Amino acid sequence: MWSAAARLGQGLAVGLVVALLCFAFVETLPGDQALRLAAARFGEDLTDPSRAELVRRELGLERPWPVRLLAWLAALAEGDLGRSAVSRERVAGLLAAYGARSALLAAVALALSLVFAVPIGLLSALHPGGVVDRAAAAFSAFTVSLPSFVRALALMLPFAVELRWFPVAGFGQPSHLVLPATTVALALAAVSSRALRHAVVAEREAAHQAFLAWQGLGLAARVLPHGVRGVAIPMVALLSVQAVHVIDGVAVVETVFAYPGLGLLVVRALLARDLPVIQGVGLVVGAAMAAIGMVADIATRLLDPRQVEASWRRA
Amino acid sequence: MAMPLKSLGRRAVLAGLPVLLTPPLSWHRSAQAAVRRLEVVAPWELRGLEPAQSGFVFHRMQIAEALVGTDLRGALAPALASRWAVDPDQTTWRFTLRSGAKFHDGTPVTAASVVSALERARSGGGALRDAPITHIRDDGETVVIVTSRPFAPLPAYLADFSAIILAPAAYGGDGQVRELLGTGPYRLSGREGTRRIEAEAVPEAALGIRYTAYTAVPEAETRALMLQGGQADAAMTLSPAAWERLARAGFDMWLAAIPRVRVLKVNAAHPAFASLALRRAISLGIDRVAIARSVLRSPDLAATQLLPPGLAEWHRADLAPLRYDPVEARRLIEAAGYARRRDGLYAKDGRTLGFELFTYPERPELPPMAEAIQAQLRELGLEVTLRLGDSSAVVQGHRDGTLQAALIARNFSLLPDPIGTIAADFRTGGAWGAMNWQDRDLAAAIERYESTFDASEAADVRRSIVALLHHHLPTIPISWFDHRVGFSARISGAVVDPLERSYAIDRLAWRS
Repeated sequence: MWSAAARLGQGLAVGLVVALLCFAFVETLPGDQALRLAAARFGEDLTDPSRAELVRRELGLERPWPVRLLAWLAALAEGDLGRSAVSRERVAGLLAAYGARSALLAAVALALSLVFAVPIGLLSALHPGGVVDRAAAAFSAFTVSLPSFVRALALMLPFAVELRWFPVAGFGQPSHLVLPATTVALALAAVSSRALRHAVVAEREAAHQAFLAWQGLGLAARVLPHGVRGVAIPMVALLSVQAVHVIDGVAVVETVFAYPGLGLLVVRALLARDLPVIQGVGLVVGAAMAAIGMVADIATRLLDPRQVEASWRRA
Repeated sequence: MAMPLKSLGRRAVLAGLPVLLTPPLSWHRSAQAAVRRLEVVAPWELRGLEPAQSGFVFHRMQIAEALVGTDLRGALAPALASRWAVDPDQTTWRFTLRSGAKFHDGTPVTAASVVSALERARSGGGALRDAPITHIRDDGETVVIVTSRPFAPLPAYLADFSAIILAPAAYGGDGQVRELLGTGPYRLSGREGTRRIEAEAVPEAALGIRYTAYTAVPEAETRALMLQGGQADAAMTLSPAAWERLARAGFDMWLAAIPRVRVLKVNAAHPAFASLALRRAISLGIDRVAIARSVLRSPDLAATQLLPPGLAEWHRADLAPLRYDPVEARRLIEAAGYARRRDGLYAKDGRTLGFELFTYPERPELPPMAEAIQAQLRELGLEVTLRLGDSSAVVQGHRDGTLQAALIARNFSLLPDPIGTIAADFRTGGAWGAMNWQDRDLAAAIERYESTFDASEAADVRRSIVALLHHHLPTIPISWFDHRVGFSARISGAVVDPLERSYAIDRLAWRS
């Protein structure tokens, strides 16, 4: 319990540090933040010094940065993430809406990636160096090297435009998730199928598997209780890294599919120097990264009894 | 028997799945009902509910109206005001409200509510703050607006999207708009953040299209594919390549010349632009037709003067068109005392003739156009370095005097009358207009145009304003704009507003 609480606190601290770094980053950017915000609010055509002053006075941007930072921290202590400097919508609401969509996209993409990766990885591992293994390696290298917008268009054109099986872009219905999730899943599966293949091969060649075979255990008896755990441990670590990547960094896919997730939100906020949103995203993503790491650690401990025994010995 | 931990965990996850999946999908539960909805896709997302920030979306989707509107030729037309007139003092305007007009919450449109909305617009960031209004009051069912001086373009300023009239109940206790209650034939029925709104026709409006939606889709190719894939009925601002592809595929494609211009904004205090001769030389050294053909895929967009023929009142066919003439350009440069070096660049007193050209990728055609201009001027003998950044850097550079030149896109239809933009840019040099340049004749002409209520005098003054801008080149026009729009075969009655103020949805109908 104490360990979980400590990890939770760690996660929040990471989020806070990320948010503070975001503040420092935006403050050091060249140019006038008020002008940039005025452009985001009113459009480039109406951007002029007088509208920038309007924004500067409204948001208190003329205050020194320590004052603004302390004000943000004080509001955060009361659970208030503030309002977007552009749209004036509550940052918490924006994060909930965009974050939920990103989480959904991430979950579906990860699940789909496993649907692609597991059979490919297992088939490749059956005969390392064989035709299937080499074809899978080539396919993985090809898929990973494709820019995400090319993957997106390669799926969009046949399945959405020609066959009309799925919507081209947008959000709100389950069908809107399929193509963006598949676009992301293909890249994830390209990596995780190879990782699974290597993990399975390593597990097959491990000394304990040879010992179990010598003891007369059949394949199922060796693989299911012992082999799966050995393979799952590195895969859990990989999936946690991929989960963080998907939640945080699929802005290109979200742009092409007009899917409003966190990637799109943070890119728009960065271009507009919408500091409350940038800090809010930093806080949430930082905390999410720590939370995902914690979940991965717990899963690894459940899978690997050696880690539990080691922690008991340390205690 | 105690439930094994693993089973408990699995059941908890399964039980939690609907909770996890519900929030992002619930918004569209209503949309999953079988309604035939007109889907409009465009690049611009909402920037909140404030009229000064997002009024253009609500105006184009005919959810909200201003006092004054425009027809499809770009001329001023009645909207919430059925008529208007100016008193003999030429500073007191009276706008009579449309009889029986109601807000979407059922409350009547009163002069008091209009006055309140206009006062808000004046203090906000919209165009109305630039009009010389001293006060606004209600007088029965008439809105009275008093200006500090005779100001003929006032109705054009009142047509600005930031001046849309919302119901008093639209505003929360903090004065911010919390609900979009307009007077248009469509009322807002749903909104998803800044990306999508849905609307439905008000019961009393007999319209061919009952349900509409506007979705912000930033990528031009995605918008084109949505039209092609049947997901969109109207796709705005398409790229030339996508437009041609869809035209070949048989979609209803429109090409409208709009009053937006790509210009070279120059710092007249910089040696390269300090004299009219050098500005003319640079203008003569730019092959606009080649740029329009290769980058914009339409040589007709090469600007021959500042404003396009589509703005007939502001285009003078009798003016000598801007042209490409490098021989004449070199003659002018050499007459200014510059000599060509062995490296091909001109120099005088040890200083190379050249400048830094800034532009921004928010309009994707600008960087390649800037590169073309750089190459053409290099061939002429000028050293041009390129710098990219965001559009607000143009304003900042103008303000602190560091901007040398910028390739920008300027909208002369912010208001139905281009005088609003012309006055802002060229009277005293606005952030997007002339820099360190003023002309008394031009300033006087602008003032005369604003103060005259005589149509023929206004026409004469317009002609002289156009001629002065053409002669002095405080900004150097490069190309005009095409507005490329596509419609699906499911709808009929499509038409494109050249001022981009309305999608004219009330004219559309489903093909049976």
